Amino acid sequence: MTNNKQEKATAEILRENLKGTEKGQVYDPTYLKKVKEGLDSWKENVVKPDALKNWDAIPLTVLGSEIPREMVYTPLSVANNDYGEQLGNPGEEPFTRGIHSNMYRGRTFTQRQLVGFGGPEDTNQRIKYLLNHGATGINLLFDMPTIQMYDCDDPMATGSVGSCGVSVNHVKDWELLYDGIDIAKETSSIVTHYPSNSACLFPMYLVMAEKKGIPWDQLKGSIQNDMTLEELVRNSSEYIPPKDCFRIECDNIEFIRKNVPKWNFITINGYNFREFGTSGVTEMAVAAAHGMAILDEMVRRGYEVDWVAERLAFFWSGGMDFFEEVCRLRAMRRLWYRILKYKYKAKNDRSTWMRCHLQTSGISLVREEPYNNIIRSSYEALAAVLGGVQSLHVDSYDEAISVPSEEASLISLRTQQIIEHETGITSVVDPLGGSYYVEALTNEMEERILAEISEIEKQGGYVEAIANGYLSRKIFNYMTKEQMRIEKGEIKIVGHNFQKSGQGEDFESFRYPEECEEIQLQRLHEHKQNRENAKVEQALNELRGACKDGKNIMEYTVNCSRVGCTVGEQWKVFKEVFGLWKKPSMF
Amino acid sequence: MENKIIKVLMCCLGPETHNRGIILVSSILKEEGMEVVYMGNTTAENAIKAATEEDVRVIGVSSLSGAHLRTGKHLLELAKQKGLDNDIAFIIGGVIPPNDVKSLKDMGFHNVCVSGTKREELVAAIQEAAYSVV
Repeated sequence: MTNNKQEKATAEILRENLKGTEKGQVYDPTYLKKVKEGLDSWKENVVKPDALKNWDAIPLTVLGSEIPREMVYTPLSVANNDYGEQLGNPGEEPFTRGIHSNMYRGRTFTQRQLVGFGGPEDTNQRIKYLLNHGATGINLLFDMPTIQMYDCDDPMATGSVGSCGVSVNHVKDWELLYDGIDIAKETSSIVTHYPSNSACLFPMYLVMAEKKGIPWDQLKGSIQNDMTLEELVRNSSEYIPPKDCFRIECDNIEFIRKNVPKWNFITINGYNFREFGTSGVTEMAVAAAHGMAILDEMVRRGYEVDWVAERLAFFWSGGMDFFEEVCRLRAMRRLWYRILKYKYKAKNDRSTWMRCHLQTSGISLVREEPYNNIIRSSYEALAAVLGGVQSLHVDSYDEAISVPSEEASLISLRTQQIIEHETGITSVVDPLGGSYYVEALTNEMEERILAEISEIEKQGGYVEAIANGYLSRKIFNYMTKEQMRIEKGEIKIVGHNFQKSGQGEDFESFRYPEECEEIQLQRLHEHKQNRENAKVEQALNELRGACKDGKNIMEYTVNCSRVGCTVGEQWKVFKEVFGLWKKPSMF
Repeated sequence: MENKIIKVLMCCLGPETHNRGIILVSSILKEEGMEVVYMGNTTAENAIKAATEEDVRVIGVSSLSGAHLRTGKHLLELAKQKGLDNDIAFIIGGVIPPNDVKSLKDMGFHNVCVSGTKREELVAAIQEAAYSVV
């Protein structure tokens, strides 16, 4: 693992490389002087003194960054913006305006609604329902026990099987989950969350593909495989040490890059981290620092930067501050390009692309008057599309109350379809580009993200900033401050702390089929009786050895899947070999 | 009763992944002067065991994934079995549908604090629960 302490800060590298690259000024300097004179006179003669005094205002929004905004933006706000350097044409460096030249005219955003509840057959039906209604991708969420790597017969799982996701324990569950779904055609985002469970769950998908006779190189989709989730965001009584978790993450990346070449081996997660409690700036800074840690480690393992970078993808949360959301997507595209180009000397354009999926914010939704949540999610989704995302999930209006009902899931999908087909916004690439405000805020966001990257580097880099508790403290401070702002009504949430009506208390919510727990227990019991337990023992022993010897873990977890090991059995091996880590306390 | 002598055990039953709620509520209760035993994820068995050892008055359960009826019932049944249901008061909170609030109260939860519950309401709910087992 590289220690960024001894290295030049990323911000420093970018500063040196960007010096003297200016291509030309968009505005004529003489004319700008006139604009300035006009603006000064307008301020003096037209704008009321009170308005002038409050020229800068800070929008207070859920998950916002509290960047001050001027009352109005003019050419002077972006006087130094060099079109070629700061924007470029769409599909050209620095990709501020989008990674493709024709963006949604060529390929629209993938409409990938999260799905998962109950047993495999319950979720199988909901997947088919969404695909039949025009969803263009699968986005699979596991139940709490599966995510936390407890089999359904573990005491920790009692009562939680099938809650908030689908229960899968072994390959046979996967076969039921994907029954009648063509995995050579449909792409799947498999929301495994952590590196440790990605190492156990993704091989089950691969073994299922083998059984269906589909070669691995035809499989398309993504897994999450993100250490931020396992070590920072996750709620658990058992953590393995960050360095081992990071090693598993990189083992997964290495194995998948070699063997499943079209698969996105990580979705660098900002979403859950931000939803936990942080601004859109910190979300992106941590994700960028994480991306760099991966590149450093893979280079250390002897791989080319491009080989890894061209398949890196990000996952963002979409908050309520509309323009900030648009601008930070544009800013991050530019920044990621610059990091890859100047720090990592990437050769392929694709390696420098900030490709991303975005999910509208769940934490911004409230229980009161729940239909208002449709409006919140719609604006968040609109900002995402204006910001140029590749893939989108819109949260459902009932998510502050329960797992989404079929009706609510359909409205989320319809929200995406209405944006795409009815509003006309997809016909022009980067339609907000060139707005004085949008460009000024994009610049500001980029600077702030880079400044927070420097903070993380001062901590010794991404892994260390988790291990030493720096990021935990940062989240806690943000979370409690935001809570106070909501309590005091400084952040206004309509129907919740402002304009309250008391409606929504009789809301009929979706209930997942709780009886799936008995079905899954029975199924697991039969599975354990029918498999060859000697082979299971051997595969787990070999996995144990690989963990100790530093061999690529996924080589061994694939074999575990083949012989019928469960997720829980493999997690036990990780805990045993790596030991448990005490996560720094938040408060 | 003064807040400083109220001792609350805060936990999530089973593998709940969401923790913004339990962290915020725990920090609010601490700010309000209560003693918080932060247990995080645990089984019903271990929560009861720890509550006895730590001599807490109130167990607060945070649930956001929809499993509250099952996990909640299991916890209360266990407390009853051990004869602790009159010594400890139980409170549950989180993402809980309106229709389940009554079911949980009928089951034996002293109060149900759904997501978005205000600080004063939270504190009052815990105080009331603590009083009920004095």
